[in-house]
Amino acid sequence: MNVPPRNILALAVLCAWAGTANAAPLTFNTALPISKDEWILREQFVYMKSTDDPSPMNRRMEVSGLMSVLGYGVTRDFAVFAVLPYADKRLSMNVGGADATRSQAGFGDAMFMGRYTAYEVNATGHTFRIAPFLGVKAPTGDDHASDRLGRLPPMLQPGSGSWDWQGGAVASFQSLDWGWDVQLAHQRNGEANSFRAGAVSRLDLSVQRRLWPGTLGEGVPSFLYGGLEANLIHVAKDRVDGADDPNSGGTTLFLTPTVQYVTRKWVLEAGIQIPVSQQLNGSALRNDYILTTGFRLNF
Amino acid sequence: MQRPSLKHLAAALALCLPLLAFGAERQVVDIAVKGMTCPFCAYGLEKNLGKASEVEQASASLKGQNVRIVLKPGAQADLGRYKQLIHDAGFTPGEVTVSKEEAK
Repeated sequence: MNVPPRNILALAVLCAWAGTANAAPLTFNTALPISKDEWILREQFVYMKSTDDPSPMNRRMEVSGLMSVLGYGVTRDFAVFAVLPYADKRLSMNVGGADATRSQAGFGDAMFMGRYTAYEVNATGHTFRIAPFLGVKAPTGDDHASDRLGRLPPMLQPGSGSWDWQGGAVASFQSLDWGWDVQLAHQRNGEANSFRAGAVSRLDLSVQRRLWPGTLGEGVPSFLYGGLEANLIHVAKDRVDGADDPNSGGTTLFLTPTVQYVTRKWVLEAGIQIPVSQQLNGSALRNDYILTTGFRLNF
Repeated sequence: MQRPSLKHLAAALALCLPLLAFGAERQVVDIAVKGMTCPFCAYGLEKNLGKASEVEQASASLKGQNVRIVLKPGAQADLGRYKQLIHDAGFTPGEVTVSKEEAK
């Protein structure tokens, strides 16, 4: 059984801390600042559907998840983030002519991340920053969940059971009218239960444009942004009992139109990740789309 | 004739307080802010400046690319502190202008 859906969900979790500050990418990180001593709460609802199955099993995978992210500005340059996901995963397939469904819901692995602004240029009306980041995902979720058929496969487990590391760097430019972000990131997964999920490498791009108001008024008006993001994600093959799983891993390119309404204290946002290219290995299940919507609070 | 009680004196004083404040001057500090580009980050800046106890109100302007700090009547501006608080919020402070206005 392939595991790309598990990896895609993990990516959503790992990037849920993304863009907690300002108008920023929905699907990955930003280098824009969090003020010293400032707290930011982000809640993201993610719905993922994968039904394009090249095998005769007619597999359908659906995941509904809620990502809770708490960010804190330790200093002007160093911010920390904690992410706790909750997911309801459902896998249906055709077995011997009959439909069978296995599912599991629960809290997943908690992730902790630190980001440091290593370079910045602030000028009137715009800013440019580069920030490396490092994070670890702790095995806090249940990785031994089972149903009437026995132990669930890794893709349905709420937790991975492994310590996983993610590092990378993000560069962001933002002016009053528009902004862009670019990120390079790598995630290395640990082994648990004789299973190691494939390492993930990704290159992300985002462009946001202020759609409203057309002309800036006095004070701090609310902004409506429209954006487009691209995520090129390569997932290495999983290792099962020390051997590569030929039906796992591959490369996917997502395009994501986004919309964000940004006020002084809160942000509403939504986007849909559409896989425009999926070069997956073997009988790996293809993703249909990932819908993300949520809000952020500044306190 | 009945002598005024402490209660009456306190009430009279409370009624006079707004009159005493009227006409008092207070300082207003305008500081240019570099790197401030969206509403969400402007709030972080205003909140940070509110940490200074003498600040009555801090209002950012995205169009003007500055922040206006209104002090409490009689308070003295601490420009170094305000610049540090702007820096802590992730931005770069620029030119500073100090003026006075009548407290309302």
